[in-house]
Amino acid sequence: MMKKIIRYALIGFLLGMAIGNFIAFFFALMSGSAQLFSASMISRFGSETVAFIIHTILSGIHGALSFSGVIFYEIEEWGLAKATFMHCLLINASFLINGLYLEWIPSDLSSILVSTSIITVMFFIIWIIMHTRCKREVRDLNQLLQKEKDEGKE
Amino acid sequence: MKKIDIEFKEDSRQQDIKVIITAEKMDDEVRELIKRISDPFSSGFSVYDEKGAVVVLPCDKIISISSDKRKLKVIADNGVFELRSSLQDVEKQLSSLSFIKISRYEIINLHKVAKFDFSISGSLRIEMNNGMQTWASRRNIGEIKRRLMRKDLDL
Repeated sequence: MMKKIIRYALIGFLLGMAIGNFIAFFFALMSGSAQLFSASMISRFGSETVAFIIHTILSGIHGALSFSGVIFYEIEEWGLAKATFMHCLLINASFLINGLYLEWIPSDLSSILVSTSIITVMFFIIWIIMHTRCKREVRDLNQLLQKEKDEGKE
Repeated sequence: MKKIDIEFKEDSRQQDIKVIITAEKMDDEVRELIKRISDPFSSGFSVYDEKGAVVVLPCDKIISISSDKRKLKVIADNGVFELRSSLQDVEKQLSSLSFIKISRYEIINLHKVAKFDFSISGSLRIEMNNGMQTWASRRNIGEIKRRLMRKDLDL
């Protein structure tokens, strides 16, 4: 299990770095800014280079935490609801901490609530899809069971 | 007891498995061997009943086998028994039959399943023919489906 967590964390770290920087580039491009990060962030970290390094590392950490959360779905004793809830909690916590520090989201309460709600709703949708799929598979199991029993009686 | 020599002959023309038993004469040992080969459910386990007496329990009577501290608890049609073995060893012996491991601690007999259900919490609830309920991870759904689709499950 530990080897899996480390593997997922490494993959997540790389993905997080890539996606974090892609998003930063994307927003800089959309706003027509020559800088990747806000002036307040650059002044806080001293230079754009330092801001980029810290942003990359923290994006990687967020990615590592998010991806390693997949391990929750492999814990035998945890049902799908618990695994999904814990994963949602982990991603929300990581996103809020990193997001506020790196100015991904404004620090007012409504922005925090909106971002938390968006992530939670996404997980709820994921849970509904996975739950529905499992229900369908269980229906198939019962049909197979009944078919075999009927064939056994014949 | 006579020594049994097993010989395997590969023949690409043979679609099914053909077993030929060669012996000096047809006796009880040979009859028992033929019975065990032709009827997989004739095999069983030596278990202990609640009085501590040894009983041979045929596999087709077993509903579930679960870990209970350092022993195995065997729930069968005719009662609850104790088996002094490891779940791993039992799983190996039952691998070709209709038994499936649904968790680290339990093996069930698919013959004895009444129905499956998927709870709101996301676990697989298994109801056995005797009314007993047990739980399994949803990750077992795929393997259970594969087993039920196997033609040799012989339900």
